[in-house]
Amino acid sequence: MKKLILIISIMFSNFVYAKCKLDLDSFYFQGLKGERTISDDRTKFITVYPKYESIDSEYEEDMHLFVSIKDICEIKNPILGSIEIYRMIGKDSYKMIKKNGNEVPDGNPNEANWEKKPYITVKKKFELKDGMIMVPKIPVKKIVEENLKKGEHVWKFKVVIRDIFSPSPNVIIVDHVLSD
Amino acid sequence: MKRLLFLTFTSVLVGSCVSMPPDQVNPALGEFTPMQEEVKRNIEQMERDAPGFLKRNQLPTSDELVEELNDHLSPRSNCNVQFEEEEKANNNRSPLLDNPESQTLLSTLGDQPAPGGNVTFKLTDPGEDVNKVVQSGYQLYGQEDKRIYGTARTIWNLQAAGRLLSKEGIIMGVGDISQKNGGSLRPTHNSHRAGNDVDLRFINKAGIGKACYYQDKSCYDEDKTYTMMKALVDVDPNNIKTMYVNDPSLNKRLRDYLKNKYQMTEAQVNRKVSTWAGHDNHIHISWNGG
Repeated sequence: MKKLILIISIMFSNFVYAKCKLDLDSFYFQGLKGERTISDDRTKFITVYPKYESIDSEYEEDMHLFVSIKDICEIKNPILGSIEIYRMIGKDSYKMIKKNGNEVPDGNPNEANWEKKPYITVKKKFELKDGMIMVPKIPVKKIVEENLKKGEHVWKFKVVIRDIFSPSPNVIIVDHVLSD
Repeated sequence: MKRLLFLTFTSVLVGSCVSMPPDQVNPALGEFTPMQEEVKRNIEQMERDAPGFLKRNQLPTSDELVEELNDHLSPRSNCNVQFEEEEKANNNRSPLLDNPESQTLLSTLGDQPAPGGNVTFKLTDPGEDVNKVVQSGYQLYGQEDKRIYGTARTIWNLQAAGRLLSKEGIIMGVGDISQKNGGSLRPTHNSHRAGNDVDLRFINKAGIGKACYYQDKSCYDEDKTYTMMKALVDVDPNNIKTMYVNDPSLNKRLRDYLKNKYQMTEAQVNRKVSTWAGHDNHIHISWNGG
């Protein structure tokens, strides 16, 4: 009897998991501190939390990562899983191209390669929030600033989410632009 | 021998001020191009005007040497005149600043400072008073207030544009400029070193600089952002160095504005208005540092 219950519960959880899928192209970062701004009606100051689809010059030390879920997903908090973060490191200058007689950056990384080992591996409690999975407190500043040689830049980083929804890893690639 | 050296030296001097047009690079054998003819005439003239000691084939006396040095060092060479004219053009006042209405609005800011100089001028935060923000026409959005230092001219330009825009009901969102005394802001910025570069939010539907992506039409207001850009150009049009404007439509409008209002050529506009990766949620503007 116990075996039967176990089999049924595994089947049910697999059924639920099968319905839950991350939309790996739809994600954004959001800071914890936020940004002080005048309200649209110009009566007071408010704090807003801008959404960043890539990491630019305005990143905070830690930022939440939000990933959309495809379809309706019957799952409850908290969701346990783990993440690994890999970095793509290259020269801190853009490849340049000729355009209209001027040399302009083409926006592509310069001689960059992925690190073979994950820079960060950590177990996380994910949260379901507003129909999205929130991966809390990604240490963005550490990822893009630490352990770099002079003249290097972290052009992208890869967030590999494991052990939620499916046995196969979910991979999100985040751009870190070299802002001018 | 001395004459040969003198002629060589003068030829180099003349040649260095003149760039050879492409159609005059390969003349027919045995012929002089108009440019070469001119150089030849100049050399002959210089031979005629050559100082006495060269004609005598002797070393100059001390008086002759002083006279010769004064003749060559005091007057401005053609190269200098050309350079100074370009500099003068760069420092031309904006017509906007001679408009009486603008003069009244900007009177408390004092005269527009010269370009360049120390990066020790802080863009003051209008503070906690909402009315002050509305009147000044800008607010700060950067994470760190240590990155809001610029040259006197940059800060003046921002404050002047802010005042003009406040009349239009627009409040700019000003982000990173430079750190005090300048220097590298890596890894967050490649430039922003000399107090001449400024990041600005796009203007939203309510007329306020907010963190909008230009692709997000529910937030981004192209017309109001265009009004902001025109004010920033108008306060210092001859000194604009670059503007990174990723919204293709706004980019085109700005290029047309520079061409039509300030008679800039296509090549000049290409240098001043372009796009840059990572600028989908803000604009970068920089002025020449003098």
